[in-house]
Amino acid sequence: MDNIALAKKAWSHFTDKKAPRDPSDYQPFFDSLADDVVWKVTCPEETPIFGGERHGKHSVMSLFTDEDPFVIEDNELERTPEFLSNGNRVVMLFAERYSIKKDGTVVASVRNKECAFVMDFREGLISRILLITDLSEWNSVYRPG
Amino acid sequence: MDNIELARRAWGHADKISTDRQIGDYNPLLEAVSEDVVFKYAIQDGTPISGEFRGKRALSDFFTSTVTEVAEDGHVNGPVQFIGDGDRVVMLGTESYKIKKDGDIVASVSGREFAIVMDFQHGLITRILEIKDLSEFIEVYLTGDTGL
Repeated sequence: MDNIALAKKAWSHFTDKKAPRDPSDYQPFFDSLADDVVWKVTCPEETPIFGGERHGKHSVMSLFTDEDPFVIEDNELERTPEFLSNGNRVVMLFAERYSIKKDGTVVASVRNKECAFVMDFREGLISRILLITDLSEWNSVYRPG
Repeated sequence: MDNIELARRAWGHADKISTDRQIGDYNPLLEAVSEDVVFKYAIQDGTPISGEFRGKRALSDFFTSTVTEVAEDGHVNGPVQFIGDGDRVVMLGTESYKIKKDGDIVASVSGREFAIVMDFQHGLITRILEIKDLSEFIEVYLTGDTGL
């Protein structure tokens, strides 16, 4: 299986399942991660939950199953993803929508947000994921101070 | 010349710090786009860089005028990478810049990753979409807060 096919399988919870997703829906994604995977979202370092880097499979799994459900809901694709590759790097282009929750209440809705997942593969596993997107709505809700 | 090579040539000015660029430095980009090119930042409505900029003239004005009013010292950090498959090419890189408002520098962004998605048709770029986090820009231009 080439890396584009591996990337498509990894994100099948996003393309094939509707929110709210069951933790087991993420299994193909978790199975695709290297133990020392690095996860990063382009946003200011101090951004709550999404700022900085996450290191290790467990930390990334925790984001999807333990943290996301309390702060994000109705996360769905708005366009069929497109995959580009040069070998060990695969870029997934897509647009998504989601609602931002704070203290259990939806406080903002984001629509048609353009995103690029940049995935680096090593021996058939994802060793690094960078999500390039604009998190300004998230920062407006959760910024420190 | 394939589309990746055309994209690489179009963005040659990105290596220069924006304040050191001459208007002519944008010529390779302007020569690479179609007359009806559409340029867009993936950003909320209501800022000076929101919305679509249509046409070669609008693109030129955007880079030589609009951007200079809202940003300074913009430059790419390190090498950029081009990944593409046929008519769509993505440029990946990291950049730094300062945000200006009313002539004053009010915020600074360092080492922020970006993706520029280009669509090609008959050897010309017809659409450019720039994706990156613009939290600080929104703070400055929409909420009036520079607390980040």
